[in-house]
Amino acid sequence: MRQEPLLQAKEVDKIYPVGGHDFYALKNLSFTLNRGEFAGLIGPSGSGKTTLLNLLGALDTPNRGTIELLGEKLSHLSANKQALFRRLHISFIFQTYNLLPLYSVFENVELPLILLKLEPKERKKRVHEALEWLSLMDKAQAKPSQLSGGQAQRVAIARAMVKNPEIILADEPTANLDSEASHGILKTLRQINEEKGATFLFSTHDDKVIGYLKRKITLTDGQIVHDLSLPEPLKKR
Amino acid sequence: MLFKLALRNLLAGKTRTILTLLVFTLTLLVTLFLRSLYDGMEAQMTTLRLQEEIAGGQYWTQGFDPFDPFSLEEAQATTPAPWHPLLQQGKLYELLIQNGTAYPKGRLKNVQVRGVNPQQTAITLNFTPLQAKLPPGVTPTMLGARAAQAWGLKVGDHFTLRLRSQTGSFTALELVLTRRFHSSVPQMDLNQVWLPLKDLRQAVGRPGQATLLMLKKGAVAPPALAPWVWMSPDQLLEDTRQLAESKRGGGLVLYSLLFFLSLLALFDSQALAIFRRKQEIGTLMALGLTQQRVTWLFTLEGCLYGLFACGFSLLIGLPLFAYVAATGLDLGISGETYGIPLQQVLYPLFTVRMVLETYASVLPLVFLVSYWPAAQISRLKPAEALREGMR
Repeated sequence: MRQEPLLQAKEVDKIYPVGGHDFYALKNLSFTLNRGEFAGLIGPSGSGKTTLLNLLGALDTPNRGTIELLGEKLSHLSANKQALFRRLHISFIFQTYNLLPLYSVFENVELPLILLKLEPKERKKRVHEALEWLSLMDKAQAKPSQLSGGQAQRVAIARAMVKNPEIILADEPTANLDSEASHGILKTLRQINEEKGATFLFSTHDDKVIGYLKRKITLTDGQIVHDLSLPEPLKKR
Repeated sequence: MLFKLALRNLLAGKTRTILTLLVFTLTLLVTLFLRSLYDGMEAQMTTLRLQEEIAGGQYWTQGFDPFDPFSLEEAQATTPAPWHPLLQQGKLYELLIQNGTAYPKGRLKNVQVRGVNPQQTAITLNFTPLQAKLPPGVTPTMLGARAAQAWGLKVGDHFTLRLRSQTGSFTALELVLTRRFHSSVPQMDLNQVWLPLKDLRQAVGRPGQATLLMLKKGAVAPPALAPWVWMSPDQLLEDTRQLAESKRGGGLVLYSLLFFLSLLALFDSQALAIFRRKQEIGTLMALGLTQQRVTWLFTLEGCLYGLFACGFSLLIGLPLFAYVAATGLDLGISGETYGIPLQQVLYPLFTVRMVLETYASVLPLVFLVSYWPAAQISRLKPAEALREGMR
């Protein structure tokens, strides 16, 4: 299978000032993510997983180095252009779901399409597709507060996939879910990866998630210490 | 989308929204009411002065100063011949003003003596009782109710008036009070003794002379002829306007304070809402909302408070103010007591312009108060907003 680079991080440093001195959350980190991968950043708390995910998603900027997505150097873009880039190409799944509490499930999923200025008819069609895919049609008019954790995370997944992004970045997506709900979510995400070809990058230290990954990038103290791609036959579960 | 989201956030605020709107609406109602009182006060003072004192404007003899009694020594002139037709047509009325001393009930009072045509129709005060048929040697006079009260005089009472003639000699008149009149303009009452014009002219030896001429409302003012100077109603009302402005200044302090408190409440409400919703802000940014649009979202939310408060104040205010404007407000005491031409019942004046001006002065402030915290928070990087929102 031909490997097409989607995302590249080169010699990235991320420094936070802590108690009067610089703390390197990421140090001289480089790696490449190819299109269609189902990869995960794994490591203990404080290893830099979320920091790296934020940089790759243009939610933050590195102190040194470059991050390229689709050939565009994200760190060189203005805040507005980064927002537009995220709007078009990147989706996020958060540990705490981050659904807008005042919007219904339908409206939460529709939001990225409104930002993309799609016609209402097209939006409705796509939202219905996403909700059906995630078996959420019966919850379309429910408010996030009326959903279970697993349902809320499925809504977040629907919101992430509805705009067909280049990459979906998932930060600890199962951290707040029980085992059964976690497996359900992970199976769904794998299915999206395999059937729709969406590229996934996780940040996790959850063994359940790690078990589903096709590529495991281990971070310790802001540096990649292992980068293990499973052989093709082993990737299927 | 932003409007819908802002509106939903506002409605979801429940108690916070209700309290903020309540404070804002009350402030607007109080402000509108105070402004209407001051406008009503100025309107009433203006109307009363125009009706009872100024008429359609006046011609003053050069050098006449109503606040300087000594100016009356010289400030007299005959009415120019070209204006005589106006006198005959009842469009112009002469008024002769002299200094004098009255001796009511044995007391001595320095007064201003005003000779007026008893048939004048330039001002609404009725001077026809000055035409009363009296025995020879007795001159009819009219006093304002307050002056008569202060001097202890009632209709039919006699008192002496001493005047100084043009030649410098003193003369005296035996006066009989034929009418106590009521005027809401204190200047027409306080220490003013009103006589028939011809009698005063004769007493002071100033035939055909006057101090000022009153133009009937609606009559066209002829060009001024020396030594007469045209004083338009606007010029003559300048002191009334200044008085109203000074009162408005006091009111401005009060409602500025109220607005400051309301804006502070809104600012607090906005700042709290924004800091409480950092995660939502981070999420919106992660979805691709630009910093400017995040700022506008929260600014819009704040502005909606202002708009809703304007709407509620109109909703509550319209019937309430319409009622008050129709029935008037009984102040318990008339302004005349304090030397202000005001009646006991004051009618607040509500105009579309005043309401719009009030709203137009408030909404930009609401915008600023809403914009500032929103602009601060939108400077956060999305990752920071998400991270801080989780805390």
